[in-house]
Amino acid sequence: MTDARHDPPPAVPPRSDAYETAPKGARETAPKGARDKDFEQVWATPDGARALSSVSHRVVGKRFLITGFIFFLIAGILALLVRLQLMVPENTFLDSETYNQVFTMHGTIMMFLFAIPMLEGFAVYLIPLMIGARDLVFPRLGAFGYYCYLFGGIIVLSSFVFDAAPAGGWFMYVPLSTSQYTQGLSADFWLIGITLAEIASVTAAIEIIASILCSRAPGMSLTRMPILMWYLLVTAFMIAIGFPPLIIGSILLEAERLLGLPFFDITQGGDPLLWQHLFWLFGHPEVYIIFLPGAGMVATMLPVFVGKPLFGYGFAVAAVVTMGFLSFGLWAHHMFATGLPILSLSLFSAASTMVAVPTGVQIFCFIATLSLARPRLTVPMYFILGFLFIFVLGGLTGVMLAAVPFNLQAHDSYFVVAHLHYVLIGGFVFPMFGALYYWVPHFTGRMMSERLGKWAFWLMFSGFNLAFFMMHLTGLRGMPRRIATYPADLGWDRLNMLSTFGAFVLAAGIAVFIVDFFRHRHAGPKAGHDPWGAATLEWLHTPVTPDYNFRAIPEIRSREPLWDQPELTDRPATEIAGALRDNADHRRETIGCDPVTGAPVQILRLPHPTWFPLIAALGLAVLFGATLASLYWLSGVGAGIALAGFTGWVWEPSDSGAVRDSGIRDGLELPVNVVNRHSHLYVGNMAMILILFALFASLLFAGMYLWNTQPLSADATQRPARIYALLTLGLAVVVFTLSWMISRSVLLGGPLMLTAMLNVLLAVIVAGVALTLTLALVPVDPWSSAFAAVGWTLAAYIGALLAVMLYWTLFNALRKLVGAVGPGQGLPDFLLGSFGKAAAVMTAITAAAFLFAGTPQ
Amino acid sequence: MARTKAYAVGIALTGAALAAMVWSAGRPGHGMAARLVAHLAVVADAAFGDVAGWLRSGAADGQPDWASAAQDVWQGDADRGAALMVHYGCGSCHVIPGVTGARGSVGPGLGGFADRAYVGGVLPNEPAGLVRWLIDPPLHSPQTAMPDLGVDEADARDMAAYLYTLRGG
Amino acid sequence: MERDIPQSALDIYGAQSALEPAGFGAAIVFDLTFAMTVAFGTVFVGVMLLVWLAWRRDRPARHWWVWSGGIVLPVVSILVLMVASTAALVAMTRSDDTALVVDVTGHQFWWDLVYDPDGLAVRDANEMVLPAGRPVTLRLQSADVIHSFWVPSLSGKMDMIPGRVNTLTLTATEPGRYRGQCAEFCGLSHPRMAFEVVVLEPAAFDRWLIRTAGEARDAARPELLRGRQVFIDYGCAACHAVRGVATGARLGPDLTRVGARGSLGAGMWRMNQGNLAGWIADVGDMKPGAKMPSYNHLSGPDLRAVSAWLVSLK
Repeated sequence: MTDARHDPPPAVPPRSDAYETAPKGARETAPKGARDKDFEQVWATPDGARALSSVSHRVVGKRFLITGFIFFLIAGILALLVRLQLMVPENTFLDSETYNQVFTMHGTIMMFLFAIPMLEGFAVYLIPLMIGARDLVFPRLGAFGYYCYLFGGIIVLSSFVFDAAPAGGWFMYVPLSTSQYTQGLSADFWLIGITLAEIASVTAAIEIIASILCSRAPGMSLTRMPILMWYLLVTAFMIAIGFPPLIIGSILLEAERLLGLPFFDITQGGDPLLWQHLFWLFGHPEVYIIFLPGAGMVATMLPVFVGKPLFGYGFAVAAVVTMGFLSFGLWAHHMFATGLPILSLSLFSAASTMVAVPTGVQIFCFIATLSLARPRLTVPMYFILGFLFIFVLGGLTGVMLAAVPFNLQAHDSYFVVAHLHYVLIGGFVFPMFGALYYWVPHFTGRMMSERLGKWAFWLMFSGFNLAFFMMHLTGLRGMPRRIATYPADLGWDRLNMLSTFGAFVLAAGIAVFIVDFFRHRHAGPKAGHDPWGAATLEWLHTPVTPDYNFRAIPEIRSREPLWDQPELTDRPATEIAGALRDNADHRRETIGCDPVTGAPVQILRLPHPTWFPLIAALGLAVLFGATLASLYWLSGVGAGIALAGFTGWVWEPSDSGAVRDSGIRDGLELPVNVVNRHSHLYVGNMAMILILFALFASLLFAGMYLWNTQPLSADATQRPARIYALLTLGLAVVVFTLSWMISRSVLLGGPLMLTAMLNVLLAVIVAGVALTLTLALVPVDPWSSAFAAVGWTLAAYIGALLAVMLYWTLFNALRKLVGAVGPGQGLPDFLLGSFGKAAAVMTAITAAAFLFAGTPQ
Repeated sequence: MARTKAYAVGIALTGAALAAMVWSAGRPGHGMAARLVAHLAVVADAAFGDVAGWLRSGAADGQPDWASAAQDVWQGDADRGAALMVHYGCGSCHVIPGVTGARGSVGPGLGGFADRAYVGGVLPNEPAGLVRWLIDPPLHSPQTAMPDLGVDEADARDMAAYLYTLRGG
Repeated sequence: MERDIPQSALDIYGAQSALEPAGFGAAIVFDLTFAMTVAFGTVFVGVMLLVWLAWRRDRPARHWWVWSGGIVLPVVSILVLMVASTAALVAMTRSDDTALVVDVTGHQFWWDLVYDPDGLAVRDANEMVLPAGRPVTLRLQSADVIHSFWVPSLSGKMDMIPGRVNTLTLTATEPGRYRGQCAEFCGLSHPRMAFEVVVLEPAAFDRWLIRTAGEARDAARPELLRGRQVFIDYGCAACHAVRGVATGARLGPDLTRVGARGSLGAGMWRMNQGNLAGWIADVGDMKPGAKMPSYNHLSGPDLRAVSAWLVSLK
C-alpha cells in the first residue's frame, strides 16, 4: 500500500486518446437520473466506424466469435472439397497439388483460426460477466490481439489468391517444408501468418489469467468462482506454456527458409525430429486447450438444465488442473513411429493412458449431475448429450491409440482422422453449438428456435457419425492419411463414399443453424430475464446487458449467485446494491480483488475506446506481410508504425496514488491502481514473463536436444569467446541488481530523481550486455552448424528482450523528465523491475551456456 | 402421438444409418465399383451429353438403326473390354472415359471415339479396322508409339466393343 | 495369356489391411485390436447406459460414482492395457541376429532396396521379396524427406527419417502378395508411393535371391536389342542401373528385374508394356513431382523398342 491515502483527486490528466470521456453518439436508455446518464455515457460503445476503436470486452468477444465462425465455415467448405475428391477412387476432381493445399488449409484454419479464437471469444465475452467485473483488465490488449488474429488470418487466407497456399500439412514437417523441398512462398504464408495470429492467443492468455485472478467481485473466492473460470484459467496457463514451442519452431523454420540457417539439415548437424518435438510440445497441449473450454461450457450449462449445482465441483477442479499439468507430458505419442527408444515409448504410452483418469472424473461429474434431478431437454442440452456420446467414444479410441503396438498400425491412417474428429468435434464443436444456442440470447436479446435447433442437432449428430464412425475401419483396412486419391477395390471405396455423404449431412445441419441465427435476429422471441434459469452473474441483467455489465458490483456469497442470493433477483438490476455506483472521476473502473480470497483490494481503472491497439496491430501486419513479400524497407515502416502505436498506448497518465470510497462495507476505501503485487498489471506482467521463459526454455531445449543427438557436430562447432561470455554473465548480475533496486525504490517511495538515474544506468548496462553478448558469438558462424545457429538464435532472443528493456527504461526516464509521474505512481518502474530481473536471469543462463560451450570438453 | 411418431421416425432413421454403415464395410466382388462408376459415367455421358448426337444415333423414327449396326462388333463384350484396357495399361497413354485411372496424355483421348473417322490416322473407324489396329498397331503405322501388346483377336473385339460405346465426347 | 482376366485395376494384391494379418507383428496387433475394441466398446456402452440411467433416475448420485467411474475404472483398465501392450511391443520388436537384413531407403517417390547389404548386396526397387517364416530386419533410411514404411498385413509402420536408421523387424507368416504404402506425407505424389511385398517359401526365396543377384536377363531376342541400345543411347543409365548393361547409377530405381515386378511406378500401375511406354513418355503426368523427366522426345519405334526390352527384364 502507498502512503498517499487521502490525496485529493489527481490534476486533470494530460489528454490522451485512451481517456476521452463522453464518446460521441452515446446511446440513451430509459429515463434515469443525471448520475446514471453520465455513467452510461462513460461506458457507451462508440457508433459507426468509431466502433473499431472500441476495446470493450463484449465488442471484442463478439468480433472473435464472428470472425472465428466465418473461418469455421471456410475450413468446412475445404473439408467438403476433400470429401468430394475422396468420394470415389481415382477421382480427378482436385489434382494432387490442389488437394494438398486444401487439406493443409482445412487443418490449419480449423486449429489456429477457428478453434482457439472461438474459445477466446467466449472467454473474452463471458469472463467479466461471470466474475462480476465491468470489463477485462487489459481491454486494449484484447482488442490488439483480435486485430493481430484478423490480419494474420487474412495473410494465411490470401495465400489462395496468390496461388501459394501451403501444401505441407497443418503440421509442416521438415525436411519437406524446408526451402529445399518446398520452394516458393507457400510455407512462408503459413509460418508468418500463423505466428501473427498466435499473438492473439498469448495476449488472450495474459488477459484471462490477470482478469480471473485480479478482478472478481468482492467475496468471490477461488472456490466460489464459476467452474468455467477454472477451466479458462487452466487453459490460459496451458496457452502461456504450450504456444511458445510452436512460436520458436516457426521462427526457426522461417529463419531456415529466409536466411538458410541449418536447424533441420542433417548434413550440418541439424535434426528433422527437432521440429517434431517442438511442434508436438505445442500440439498436444493445444488439443486440450481446445477441449477444456468446451468441457467448461458443458459444466456451466448442464447444471442449469438440471436445476442443481454441478456435482463434485472440487473433483472437477482437481481434474482440470491435473489435466493441465499432465498434458505437457504426452507429446511424443504423436511420434511413436519415429524410432524412439523403448523406454520413451513406454513412458509416453503410460502417461497418455493416464490422462483418461482426469478426463473420466469430469465426465462422471457431468453424469452424476444429470442424476440430481429431472433434466430439461432444451437445444443446448441436446448438444451436451451429443458431446457425451461423441467425446467419450473419441476418448476411448484415444486410449487405444496410446497402446504402442496398435499405434504402429493406426498412426497416420484414417483411424487417427476418425479419432481426432471425434474428440475435437465432440469435445469442442458440439459444446460450442450448445453454447451458441445458450448465449446467443445474451448477445442479441432474442431466443433462437427450438425446432430448428433440434433439426440442426440431429442433422449434425447423424451426419458426423455417418462420416466418421466407419473411418475407424477405413484406417484399419490400411488407408493412410493425406492421400489425394486411392486405388479401387482395396476395400475403401464404399467407406469413403459413406463418409462423403455423412459430411454433407453434417454441413446441412450447420446450414440450418446459420439460417436460424439470421432468422432469430428479427423473428425470435424476446429473451426476457434469465431465460434459462441460470445461476451465474452474466444473466443478472435482462439481455441485452448494458455496456457497463453491472451498475454496481455486488458482493458474492455463493457459487450460484442468482439461485442463492435473493437480493440479486428481487429488484431491477440497476438498483442492486454494490461497489462503485458513484462515478465521480468519470472514468471506467471496476473492483480489483485478492487472487485467492476475492477480498476487494483496489479500484481498477480501465481504458476508454482508443485507436492505438488497431494502429499497433496494423504496424505488425505490415511488418509481417512485408517480410513475406521480401520488401524489407516496408517491414521497417511497419515496425515503426507498431512502435508508435505501442508508445501511444502506454503513454498515459497514471491513476495510482489516489484513494476512493468503494461504496461497500461501510465506506471501505480502496486505493486506485495499487503499486504492489496485488496489481493486475503485476499479475499480467508475471504471465508475460512466464511466456517469455517458456520461449526461452524452448530455445534451450532445441540447443540441448541437438547437443544430445548430434554430439559430433556440436563438438565441432566453433566455440564462443569465453571472456565475453563471462563479461555478459557479470553484467547480467548487474542488470538484475539494478532492476531489483528500481522496484525497491518504487515500493519504498524513493525520490524520483534516484529512480530516473537508475533507469539511465540500466539502459547503459543493457546496451553493454547486448554488445558483450554479440562479441561472445563473433567467432561462431551460424551457418556452419545447427548448434551454432541455435546459439545465435538464443542470443537474438536475449537481444530482443534487451531491446525491450532499453526502450522501457528510457521511456520511464523520459516520463519522469517531462513531469508526467506523480508521487505513488511508480507502476511502470515496479513492473520494469520484475521484467528486468527475468531478463537478467535468462541472460545469465545464456551466458553460462556460452561459457560452458566455449570450454573444450 | 407426436412422441410415438418421433420415436418411430428416429428408430427408422437409426436403422437406415446402421444399414448404411454395414453396407459400407462390405467388399464387393473385385471390379464392381469400377464398373459401377464406368456405367454411371457412360450413362451420364449419354444423358447429358450431346442430345442431338443421341437422336442422330438412335432409330427415332422406327427405321432400322444402320449407324449403330455399322459399329456392332461381332462377339464383343464391352464390359470385359473396359477391364481389359486396365489389364493392358491403355490408360497410361490415353484418357478413356469410364476406365478407372485412364488419364494418360501420351496419346489422344478416346472420349467420343465412336464418332471418329479414322483409327490411328490410317485405318477406317469400323469394327474390322479397329480390331486389326488393336492387334498390331506398328504393322499399320510403323512410326507409331503405340506398342504391339500381344492382344489376341478375342480381346481386341471386346476392347473395340467398349470403344464404340464412347459417343459424343 | 489367360482367358479369365482379373476384374479390377490392381487385382494382383492379397491385402493391404491390418485386419488381414499375414505377419507375426500384424497378428499380435490384430489380437490386441480385437480385445481393445471389445473391452472399450463395452465401456462405451456402459457409460452411455449410465447417462441414460442418470437421466431417468430420481435418486441422486454419490461421490462413489465419480471415484469408481472416473478413477478406479480407468486405472484398472489402463493397467491391464499397459501390461498387454508392453508384452506385445516387446514380442514385436525382439530383434534376431540371424535375421535377413534389407536396407530400405525412401525417396520421393520410390523405394530403394538392398538385400543382405553386408553380403550379397543385391539391389532392387519397389517390390520387396521376403521369405515366409524367417525374421527380416529392415534398416529404414531416407534420402530426402520423411517417409514411412507400412505394410499393414505384415506389421506396424516405422518412419524413415533422413539422418538416422530406424530398424523394423518383421516376420511374414504366409506366402502371398501384399501391398504397402508410404504413411508419412512426403510431397506431391505421396498418394502414389506404394509398394508390394511378395512372400515366398524360404527355399523359393533363396533361389530368387541368387538369381536376382546376377546380371539382367532380357529375353535375348534379337528384336529387343534395339530397345537395349535405346536405353544406353538416351542416357537412361545415368539414373538407372541394370546389372550387366549399365552399373553404378543410384539416382533412380534399379531396373535389373523390372519386368518381373507386378507393378510399375511404386505399386501404382500394372507392369506391362503399355503402362511402361506411357510412363516413359509422360511420367510427369502419371506421377507429378517424380524426378524422372518425361521422354517424349523418343520416336515411336524407339519408345516401343525400349518398353519391350524393359518388360522382358525378368
